[in-house]
Amino acid sequence: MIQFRFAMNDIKRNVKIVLIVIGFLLITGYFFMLMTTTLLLNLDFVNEVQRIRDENITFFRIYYPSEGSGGITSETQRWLAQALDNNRAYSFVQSPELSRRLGADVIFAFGIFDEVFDIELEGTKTSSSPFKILFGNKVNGLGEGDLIELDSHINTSIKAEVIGRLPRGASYLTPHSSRVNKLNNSIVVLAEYETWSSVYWPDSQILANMCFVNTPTGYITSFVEGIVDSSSLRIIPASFYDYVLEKNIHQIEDTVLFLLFFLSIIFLIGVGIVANLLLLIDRNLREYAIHRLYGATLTDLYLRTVIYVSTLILPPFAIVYSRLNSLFPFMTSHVDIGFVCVVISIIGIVVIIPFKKLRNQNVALCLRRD
Amino acid sequence: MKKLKVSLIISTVFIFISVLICSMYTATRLNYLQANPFGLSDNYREIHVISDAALEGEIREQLLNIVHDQEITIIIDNMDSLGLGVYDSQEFFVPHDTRSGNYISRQEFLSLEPVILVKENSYIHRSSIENDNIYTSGSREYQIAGTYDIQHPLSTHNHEYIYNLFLEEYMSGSLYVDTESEETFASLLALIQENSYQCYLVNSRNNGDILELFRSDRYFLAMVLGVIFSLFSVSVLLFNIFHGMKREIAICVLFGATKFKLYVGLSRKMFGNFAIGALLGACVYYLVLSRFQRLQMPVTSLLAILLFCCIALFVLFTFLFFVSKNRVKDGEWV
Repeated sequence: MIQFRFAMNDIKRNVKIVLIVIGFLLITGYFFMLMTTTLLLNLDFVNEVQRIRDENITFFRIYYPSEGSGGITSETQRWLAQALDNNRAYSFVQSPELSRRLGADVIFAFGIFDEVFDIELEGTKTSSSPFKILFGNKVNGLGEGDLIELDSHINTSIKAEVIGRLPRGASYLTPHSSRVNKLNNSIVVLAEYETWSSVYWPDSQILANMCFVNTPTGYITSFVEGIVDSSSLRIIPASFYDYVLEKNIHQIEDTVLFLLFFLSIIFLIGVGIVANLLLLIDRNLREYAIHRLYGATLTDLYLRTVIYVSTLILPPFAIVYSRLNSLFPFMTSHVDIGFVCVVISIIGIVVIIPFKKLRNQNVALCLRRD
Repeated sequence: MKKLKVSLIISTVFIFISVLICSMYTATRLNYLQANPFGLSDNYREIHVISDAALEGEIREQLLNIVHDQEITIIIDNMDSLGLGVYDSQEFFVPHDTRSGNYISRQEFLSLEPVILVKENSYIHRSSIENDNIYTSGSREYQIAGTYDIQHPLSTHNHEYIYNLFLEEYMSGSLYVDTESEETFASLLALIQENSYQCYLVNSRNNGDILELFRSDRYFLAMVLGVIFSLFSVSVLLFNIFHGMKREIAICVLFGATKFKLYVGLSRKMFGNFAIGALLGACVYYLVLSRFQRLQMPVTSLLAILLFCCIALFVLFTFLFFVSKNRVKDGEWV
C-alpha cells in the first residue's frame, strides 16, 4: 500500500507526461487492437475458405433487369428445388420475424448446407420431418425432441423438431461478407426447399446465397439458362474461392501494414516511457536510498515502478478493450487471452531496463554529497 | 558519449518504418482522391441517369448525330448491367494494353460493330471460348475482339465485358462524358434529360488534398498522430541522453567548451546515429517490407524518406538541445 502511495506521488510530480502518454496510448492502442481484431477476423475467414477450397464452390452474381422486376417465378422455384433437394447445392435465408420471436438468429438452410459446413454432430437424432432444428451453444431454452412452431406466410402452422445442438464454433460462409458467420447464437432450420417454398414466399436471397458444390460445368450452365429464361434475372457463375480471395487479399495486406505501423508507434511510446522512468529513477535516487536504509527491499522499489508503469498503461488499454468489446462482441473469447498477454508483455518489457538500473544502484553512493 | 547509442538507433529504425508506411499510405490515398474515374481527362463530366426508355429508333439516331464526328468518350456504368458501356471515338483507351486481341477501334465504334472486350478469366470469357468467341446477350450476338485484365482502366469489379453503349437498349446509371466541346455536351445532356425519369449532373470531380484526407480519413489522422507521438517519445529519449551526459559535458565545459561547441560535437555523433538507424530501416525495407505490394517504390522515394527521417530527427535534436534548460554558467554546465 505504501508503495502505491509513493507511485501516486511520482504520478503527481509527472502529471503532464503521464496524461500525454495515456492519451498517446489511448489512440495508438485503439487502432492497434482494431487492426489486430480485423486481421484475426480476416485470417479466420481465409482459413475457412481454404478449408472448403476442395469443394470447388460456385456462386452467382446477380444482375437485376432495368425494366420491371426480375421476381422469382414458379419455374425458377423448380430450378432451385431441383438443385437444392438433389444435393448439388446449398443455400440459406434469414428469417427476421422468427429471430425476433425466438430471441436468436434463425436461418433456414437448404441442400447440403449441413454437410459443407459440418454442422451436424455425430449421434444427432434423425428425423423424417421436413423441418429440423439445430441450435447454437449459446441458445437456451431448447432441448432435443422439442417441437417448435414456425410461422409460415400462408397462415399454416408448421412444426419443426429439434434434433440437437450445433457443434461448438459452428459457422458458415457467404461470398457477400468477409467474415465467418458464427452460429453460436443461432438456430438453424434444415429444410427441404420444395416444402419450404410451398409455405413461404419466394425470396431472392436464396438465389443470391446459392452455391453449387463440386458440380459439373454443364449442369451449372443449364441452371443459369433455366434461371435467366424463367426470371429475367441475369446470373453469372463465379468461383467462390477466387472471388473471396481476390476481394480479401489486399484487405489483409493493408491490415498487416497498419498493424506494423501501430506496433512501431507502440514500441516508440514504450521507449519514451522507459526514458521517462529512467529520468524519474535518477531524480528519486536519494529517496530510494533512504527507503532502503529504513528497511525497504529491492522488491518494494520494483513494485513501485510496476505500479507507476501500470497506471500509465492499464487505463488506456482497458478503455480500448471495452470499446472493442462493444464493436466486436463475438470476438471476446478469442481476444481475451491475447489482450491480457499483450498488456502484460508491454508492462514487462517496459520495466526491464528500470529494474536493471535499480538493481545496479549503489545506495551509499546515492547518499553522498556532490 | 559513446559514439553509438543503441536505443537511439533502434528508435530511428522504427521511426523510419512508420514514416515509410505513413507516406506510402498518404501517396496512395491522395492519388485515389485526385484520380478521375476510369482515368478520364479533366474535361469529363458525370451525369446520373435513371431511365427505362429504350435507347432505340429516333433517340438513338439523335444521340448518334450529336456524337458523330466528335472527339468524345462516353462511359455508362450501370451496377445492374453485366457490361460496361463505352463509346470512344477519340480512342482515349487505345494506349492501354489489352491481354489479347485489340481494343474496339474508332471505326468499330462509329459503325456500331457488335464487338466486345471481355475480362480475362471471367465466366463470359470461359464460356465464349467454348462458343467460337461469340457471346450472346438477349437476341444479339457479339464477337469477342479481345480480353483485358484488372490493370486496364476500364476494368471494374461489377462488369465482365466492355461493349459499344449504342448497341444496348437502355441507358441508366452513371454516365461519364469526356469531351472538349461544351456544345456537344450541352446537346447530349438536353437529349438525355428529355428522355429519362431523372437526369442530373454530379460533381464527382475529386480535387482532394491533404486537408480533405484529414477531414475524411480517420486512419490517415491516426497515422499522422502516431508519427507525432513517436517524435515526442524520441524527444524524451534525447532528454534522457542529455541527462546521462551531464558529467561528461560539465568536464568539457570546465575545459572551456561553449554551448555551441558542445552542440557541434554532439550533433556529429547524433547525426551518425540517425543515419545508421535510417540505413538499417532501409535494410529492413528491402528484406521484409518490399514484399508488400503497397510498399513498392522507386529507390529515389526511399532515399527521400531516408533523408527526411535523418533531417527531421536532427532538427528535433537541435531544437531540444537549444531549448533544454541546461546551459553554461560561470564555466559550469548547470
